[in-house]
Amino acid sequence: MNYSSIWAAAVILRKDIRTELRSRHGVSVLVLFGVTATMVISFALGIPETDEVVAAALLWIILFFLSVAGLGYSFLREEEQMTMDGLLMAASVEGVYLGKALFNLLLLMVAQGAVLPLFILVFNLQIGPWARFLTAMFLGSCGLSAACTLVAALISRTQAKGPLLAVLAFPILFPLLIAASADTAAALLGGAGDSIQVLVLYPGVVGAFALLLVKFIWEE
Amino acid sequence: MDNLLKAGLGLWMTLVLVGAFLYAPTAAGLRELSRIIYFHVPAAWVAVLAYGVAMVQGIFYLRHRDLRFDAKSSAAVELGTLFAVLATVTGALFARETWGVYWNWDPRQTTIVVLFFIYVAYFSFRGTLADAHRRARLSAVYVVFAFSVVPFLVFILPRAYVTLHPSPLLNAGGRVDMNPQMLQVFLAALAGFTGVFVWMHNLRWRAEVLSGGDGDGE
Repeated sequence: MNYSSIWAAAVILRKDIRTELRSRHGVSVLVLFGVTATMVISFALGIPETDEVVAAALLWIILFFLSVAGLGYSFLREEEQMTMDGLLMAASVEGVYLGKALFNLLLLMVAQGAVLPLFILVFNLQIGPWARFLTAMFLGSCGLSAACTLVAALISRTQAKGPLLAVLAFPILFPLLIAASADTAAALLGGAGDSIQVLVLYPGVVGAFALLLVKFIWEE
Repeated sequence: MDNLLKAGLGLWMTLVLVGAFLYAPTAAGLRELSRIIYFHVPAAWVAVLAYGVAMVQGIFYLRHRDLRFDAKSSAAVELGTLFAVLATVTGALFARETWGVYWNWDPRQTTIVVLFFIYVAYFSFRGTLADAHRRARLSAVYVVFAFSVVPFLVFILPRAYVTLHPSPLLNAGGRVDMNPQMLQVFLAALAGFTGVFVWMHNLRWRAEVLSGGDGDGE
């Protein structure tokens, strides 16, 4: 991890954005998943007045499954097109992780740009302090991306590509999901949550572990 | 020597059982329920100890690339799964009798369940990897990566939620809230469970090495 890794991360982020703009495969998976899940839940509940705590929990359940459905894609694409080796020759492995994590964060934020307005609309939510709500969303997304990107890298090295990401990421995301839904519920109720420290620390701690460990994933 | 240790361990655990039911007095308010402490707490301790062993052996594998460390790591996870289930079930029974419900997401219940999910995920991940060294390396990465949730589970979440769980032996005040007989049996049970873990772990990882390292549990 050094200056050149950060530079490599920026270059990989730009490359991934460019590839994504050509196919729009990753972002469409995330957006469609989020929209479908929101509509299914709304249809199943059928009531416009939703308890804020339940709404926050449902929102983070959607975001969790959206992440495990879509964030594995950027590594799988490299493995499938056999471009991973080239990427590792061109950049340090930490740079690759960082670039992919930033790209995944961007994907999540774009998807939320579509899903959040719909969610707020169909559940008729009154957002208390918007800053608190958006902070919880952003920090939660950073955490989702930091953890899912490393687990996705691990899974891209196996034969199985299916639902493994959900199984492996769930225990690691557990504290994040608890804190994020608690803080989102607090923002919906108009107050300040008390889990903000978890949301701030989580991406840092998990990201640091990921940067230490990522070099073992591709060496052989 | 080995046989002597095994016989000693058997005798020790028998004494723990006898002590737990006949020698130790019951705690005020909990009556006979208090005897669960001699089984539940050591099981939870071993579940956590197993994670520590799995992680440390995983780090050793990453440093030395010897498959024996991988066998030790995965054997610890196997046993950890077993003890996590035991601790969860005994804890839920205690919770039902004292708090009225089997499950209420007490911070300690949360911690043991996350631990259990890490263990289960570890095995579903291992099952997808065919090459022994790649499996060892990636499993070690996962088990070390999972350690990143520990600070949140141990230090942060318990403060955000109220707990009904009886305070641990080494509580914030550093006091020991047990009478001497209870403490003797409790410490003997902790030592005994740890001994059982060491013995089972030793058998398990050597069996895995003998099977060529490509058996995943069978």
